[in-house]
Amino acid sequence: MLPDFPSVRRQVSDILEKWFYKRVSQRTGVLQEMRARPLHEGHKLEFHRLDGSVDHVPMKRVGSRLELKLDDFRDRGFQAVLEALDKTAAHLAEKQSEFFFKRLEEVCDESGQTLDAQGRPPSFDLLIELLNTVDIDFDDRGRPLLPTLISSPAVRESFNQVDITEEQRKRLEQVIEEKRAAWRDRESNRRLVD
Amino acid sequence: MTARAIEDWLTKASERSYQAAFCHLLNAMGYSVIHSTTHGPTEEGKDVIARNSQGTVYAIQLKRGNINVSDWRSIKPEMEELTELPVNHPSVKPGTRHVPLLVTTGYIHENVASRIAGMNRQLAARRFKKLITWTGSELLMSFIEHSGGFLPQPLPDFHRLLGFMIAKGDGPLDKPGFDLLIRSVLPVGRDPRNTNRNTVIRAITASAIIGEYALGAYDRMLNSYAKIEAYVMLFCYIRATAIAHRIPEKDWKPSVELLESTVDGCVGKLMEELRQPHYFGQGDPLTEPVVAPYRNTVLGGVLSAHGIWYKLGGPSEWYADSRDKVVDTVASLSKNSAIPSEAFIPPRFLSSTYLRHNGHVRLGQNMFNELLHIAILRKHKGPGVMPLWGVYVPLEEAILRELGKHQQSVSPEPWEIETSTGHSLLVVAASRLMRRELQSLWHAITNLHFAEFVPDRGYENLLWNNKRGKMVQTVARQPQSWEQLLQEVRTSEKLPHHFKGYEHWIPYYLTVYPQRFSPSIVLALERLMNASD
Repeated sequence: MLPDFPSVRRQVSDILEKWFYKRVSQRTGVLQEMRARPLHEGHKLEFHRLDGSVDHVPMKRVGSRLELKLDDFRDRGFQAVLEALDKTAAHLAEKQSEFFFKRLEEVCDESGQTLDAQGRPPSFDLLIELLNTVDIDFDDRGRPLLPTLISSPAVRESFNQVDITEEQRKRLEQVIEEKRAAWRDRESNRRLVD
Repeated sequence: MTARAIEDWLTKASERSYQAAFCHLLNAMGYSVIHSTTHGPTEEGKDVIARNSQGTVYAIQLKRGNINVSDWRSIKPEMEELTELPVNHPSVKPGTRHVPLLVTTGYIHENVASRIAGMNRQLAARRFKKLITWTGSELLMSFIEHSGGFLPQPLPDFHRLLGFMIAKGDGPLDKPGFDLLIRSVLPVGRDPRNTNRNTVIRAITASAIIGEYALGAYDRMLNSYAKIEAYVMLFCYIRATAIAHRIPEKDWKPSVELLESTVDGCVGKLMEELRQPHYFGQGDPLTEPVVAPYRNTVLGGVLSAHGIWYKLGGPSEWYADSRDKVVDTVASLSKNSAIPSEAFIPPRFLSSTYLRHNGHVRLGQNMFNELLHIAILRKHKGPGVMPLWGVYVPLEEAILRELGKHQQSVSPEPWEIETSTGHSLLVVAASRLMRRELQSLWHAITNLHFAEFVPDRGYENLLWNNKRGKMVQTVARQPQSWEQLLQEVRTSEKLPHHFKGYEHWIPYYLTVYPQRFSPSIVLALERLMNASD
């Protein structure tokens, strides 16, 4: 073999791997904020809910292909490697997001938390309707821990332009108060009784 | 290559360290090992007592290296004891004439051979049996004959064996590596229909011998803890193979009995080391205060496991005479201990259980109560909360993380919410009617996800890691009725089929396989302990 420097290769390889996953994570947006847990054993995951229902969490292999043209590699060296990795990271992030949102849709459909807007444009009323479908928790100081809204840039822009009327603001407060009462109910149930 | 590897192992092995492998070899050759000294000096010149298939009793003395004239002079009194004193063992009828056998890993010098011949003439005149010898080359051939065919052949597995043999051997056992090594010897995952039963039986015996080869480095370091971990895994894999291939107990029990004897010897050695005033001088003394609390948790767990093992019928040559010292040692170790991850919970639980059943009821109960709080509250992020790492994080990695090491992984593993041990402690607390403690913790308990691995086949729980099976997560009820919880406790307890008749292995199993600390087996242990009082 030609003279080589394996420990240098290992270090560079580690750096590249970290950089690659950082690029994936930067592109998955909200996914990076979620807790990822490795499955140390087995090939299936089951989640038994409080209501007795069981969620059989499907597993899916998500991968992407790394392509590096020999000429490109020879002419542009490390820059070509970074570009190829970046392209693969983008592809992987897209596949991860696609799988996540598809699964989210399935779970929401199953639990009746899907709201069909039936062609209505984004509005504050719609937002309140959406909030009505989910449980909301509150922090130690009583502030609501509102869910994150994920949308396309166009929908987000529409929401930004929505004007909120006094009546809608009151309705939102009303919903939050109802959610607070529901949360208190849930909290009061978290105990050992006779 | 195989022969060289075994030869190298044999050359480096001490008398005591090849004794276990030698017993497994006798087993493979059709002898039944009646006794193998595990503790203290040789008994009347006899390290091992065995019987061949014709019923002839052999008394065996093990030596290492070459025996020249000056060595012979120094061991002659032992040889006289070996040849002339009768075998004194309950399994051997008084007055039985035995064959004395001297085994060494080297050669016997020709001048010694002539002295042995002279000694044998005198013995014959006095109606004693002649001393026979096995030298290194005969021993090597026998080891190759009975284990060589089962040594891992594909290169990665053979390299793994060599890796074990040349490792430094001063840390915990590399359990994932040992799992792969033993799987490459035992056909545990193979289809029984395509596997010859006799081959499986021979593989079981060979696995114990090959396990000894792999433990050579740990043995040189006198690393009894790592060896115990390995023997527990060997027991589990032999048991799993026997179940998978429906091998009758008579064909694998001798191997297990030898493992039991070796485990007993290893724990005895740990106790001896603890009695030495400077045992803490191991490694850099400046690092001792950092390491000690973690070591104490693990050590307390092993000693307690052995006490529980004995109580549940496990054999021990020394425990009955040293019980009080073991109890005092466990109590003393428990005063300075630490729990960086859930993998440290089973040993701590065993210590608390052991003390509770050995005259330290309050201390044991307080330790359990503290453990319950740790398992529940250190799974919630909050100011000043020390993370309790998951059960799958290796021991050393968990300690390093507690000491501030950042995770190297590209996607760091979270430690909060999910627990593999919390549910078991909770049901034990309920079984002990600790209602008030559970009431104060229930709000935090309802935040947790209890994780338990369920393999496709029950006996696969005996394997370190399974690719197939499901990870089941459950949550606590909100609100939880106390009566319903007690009912759940009553129905959850289930002794796994693979431990029936081998209940004494359960405490060791929980120590070595912390990921299997499930409510059913922990409650079963609790019941067995209560029943044995």
